[in-house]
Amino acid sequence: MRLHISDVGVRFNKITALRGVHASADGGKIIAVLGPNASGKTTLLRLIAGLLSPTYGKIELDGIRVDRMKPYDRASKVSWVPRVAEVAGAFTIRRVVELGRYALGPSTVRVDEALARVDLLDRSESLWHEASAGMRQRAAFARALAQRTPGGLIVLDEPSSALDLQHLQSLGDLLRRCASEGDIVIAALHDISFAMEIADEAVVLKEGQVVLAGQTRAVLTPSSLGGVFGVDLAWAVDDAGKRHLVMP
Amino acid sequence: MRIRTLSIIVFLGICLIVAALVRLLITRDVDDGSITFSLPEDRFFIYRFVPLIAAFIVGSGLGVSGMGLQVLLRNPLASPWILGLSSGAGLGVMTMMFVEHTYNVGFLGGQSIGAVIGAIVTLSLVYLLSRRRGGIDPITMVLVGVVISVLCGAGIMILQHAVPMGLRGAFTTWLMGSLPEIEAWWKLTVLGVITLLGILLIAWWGPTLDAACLSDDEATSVGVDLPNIRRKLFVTSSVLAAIGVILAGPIAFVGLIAPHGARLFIHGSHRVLTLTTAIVGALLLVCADDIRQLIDVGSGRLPIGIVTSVFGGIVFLVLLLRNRGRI
Amino acid sequence: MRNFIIVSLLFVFGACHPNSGQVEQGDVRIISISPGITNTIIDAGYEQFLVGRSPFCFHADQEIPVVGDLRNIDYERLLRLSPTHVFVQKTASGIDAHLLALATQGNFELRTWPLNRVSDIQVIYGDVTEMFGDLRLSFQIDTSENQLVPSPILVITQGVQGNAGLSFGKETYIDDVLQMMGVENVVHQSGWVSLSLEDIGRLQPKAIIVVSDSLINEGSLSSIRSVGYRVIPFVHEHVLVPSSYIVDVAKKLQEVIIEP
Repeated sequence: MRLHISDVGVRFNKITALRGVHASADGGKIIAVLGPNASGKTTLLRLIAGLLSPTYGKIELDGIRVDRMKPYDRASKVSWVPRVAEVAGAFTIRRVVELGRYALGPSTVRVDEALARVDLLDRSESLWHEASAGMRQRAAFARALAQRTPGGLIVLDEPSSALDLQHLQSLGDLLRRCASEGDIVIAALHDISFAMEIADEAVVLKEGQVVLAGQTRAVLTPSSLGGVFGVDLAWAVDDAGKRHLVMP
Repeated sequence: MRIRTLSIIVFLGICLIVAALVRLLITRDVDDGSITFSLPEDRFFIYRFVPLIAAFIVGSGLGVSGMGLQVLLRNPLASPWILGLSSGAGLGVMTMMFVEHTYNVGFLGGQSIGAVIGAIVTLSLVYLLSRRRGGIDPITMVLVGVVISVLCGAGIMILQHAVPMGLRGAFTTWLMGSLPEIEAWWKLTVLGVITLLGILLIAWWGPTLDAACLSDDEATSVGVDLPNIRRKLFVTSSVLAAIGVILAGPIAFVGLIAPHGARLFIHGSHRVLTLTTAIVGALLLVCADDIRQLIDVGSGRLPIGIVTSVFGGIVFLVLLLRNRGRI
Repeated sequence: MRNFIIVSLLFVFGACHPNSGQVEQGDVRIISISPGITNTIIDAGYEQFLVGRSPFCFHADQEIPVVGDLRNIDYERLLRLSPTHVFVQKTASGIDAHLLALATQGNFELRTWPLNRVSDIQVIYGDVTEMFGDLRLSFQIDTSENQLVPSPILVITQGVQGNAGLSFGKETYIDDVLQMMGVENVVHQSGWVSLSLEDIGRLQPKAIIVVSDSLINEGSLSSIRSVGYRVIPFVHEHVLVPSSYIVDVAKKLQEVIIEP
């Protein structure tokens, strides 16, 4: 699968949320999208997931405009994990995950597998409104896992914000696994350390424009990120030079 | 369907049959008000059977309409009246009465015609005014429905000042809701069939309604064509509610309470919830009609709308307190 | 400058005060907030004294200003009309407290009457003729026991489609008329009673009179006809509002219900 973003911009009334975005990605990669608040990360992710049409430009998945696909057809190619999952009504966690199979047909095996991967299988009969924020976030990811077709596109908007360390590590493992099966994984992240840990490539936005893009280790440096966020960053690396800890 | 769910539906069905039998059997002496349970004489049977059929049609239709609108508007307090349907149909009825009086003409079925026209005009207005970017915006729809309701109410008050007391009285009675004791069989059949089709349609869309309970982005991402299902749900729910108004006037609370009553037993599947809500809605209305046969405050039976409001309100409060956070 | 504007505005508003003319001694100015009382005043021949009415007093000259109804009185408008008399129907909730207070302060004479029975109408008629005429008068309802008048009878208003309207029970002005005609009312409860079609069937009236002050809806008639008894539609502009026009109502009613 190949994702191609050509000169995309979005305007909401008189506000330009995004402008002049060019990018492309192939299957098997994890791409982190970073940037300050209101830099256009969620807007970009929604465009990629086909949930929003660009004001100009186009986003194509294997040559087909992703925003012009019928939702039913797009569901087998693109999975979406929101920042905050919302459900109106009394649903169990299992039922919410099952909804990921809406367009693809029910599959108890896929649902159980997805629940197990996010460590929710034994809590699947809990009611959604009684679940913690972390549980809901994991359930939303499980839904995407139950929905995804290997080799497709997974788009995640800050999937780690409510996760504890154990589940954060699980998330990283799962995303790597999806990428290894040929998925394009695109995730908006606030946690730069986590981004450096799992992402192959990074795109950094500021005020609606891409200011940095490329290999993660090359793009995410103390000086470049300090300039984007406007803060002095403390940067620590482990002895093996593999794990980075980045803090303001 | 799980055994537990099936058992619940069967149980509710049995309750409905029992309530229906009670309605057929309650005989109240006109003079001393004493109650006996017996089948009525042949010539009176129809005056119990027709309101029973009407209660089935109206109760199930209003219940499922309310459920559909609660999903459409993502609002657990939504009911058919939130779209201004009751006021719109009422304005239609009042206008028809005014026209008949002013021009000294009579239309057979004039009230029904007025209710239908009023309902169609109101719902069309609400639909057109709540469209955003090609689809229905739930929040706008609620606001527009409230405004139109108020405007229609004002229209009703103006017309009420222009008609004689007899018509005002008849209209006030219509406003309180009443199950017809006699009705043309073709009308009951046609409205009954349309109601059944509407309920089955919404049940058929059950899985889509489940997914539509997610946020807009999430529902779209799992494959739901939200503008399409909202349009279909709006039209079908409106037709079901309009049928209720045509047959029985605006009957309060059934459309609000029935879905919540059904949700006490059914979770996570709107297909099953739709069928359960239809049974609960019919059960509520038949029970209300049973209750009103037993109550005489000295001026005859209470209008059914008063019974559904009083008991429905109490039941809703109990539901609210028991299920805080779950509704 | 500001003071000048305020004074000018006060002058303008003062000049706009209506009814700045004097009410001469002996002028009678009646406000009636009850359609039944208004109709009785008109029937008694004193319409020229009416200066204010309720919105439901359709029989009065519609040019006469409206001052509100029993639930909602426009006190300012009422006072601006400088009434000498205010007539109000007594209801279960009593008399409007502010109206009572205004009367006590001497703004006008307040008279209230119940208005349910023929005897109530007689009292109003007598009081009105005594107040504004030379003599206390009464009216006579001409009835005679007639073998051709069916009994018992049900008198009912037109209802909504598929249902019966409200029926006139005991202690209503229609019941009084029926008694004068020697006709039994099938309804034994007092006041306006809601009956189902089955109830009506069980009561077995010899005739059902569907009354209205305007056109009777064919749907209502067909619902009542389904019970299987003789149904007589009766339209009279004063049948639903008790007033001294009950004389004409009773006369016309007897004409229609005599059995063919």
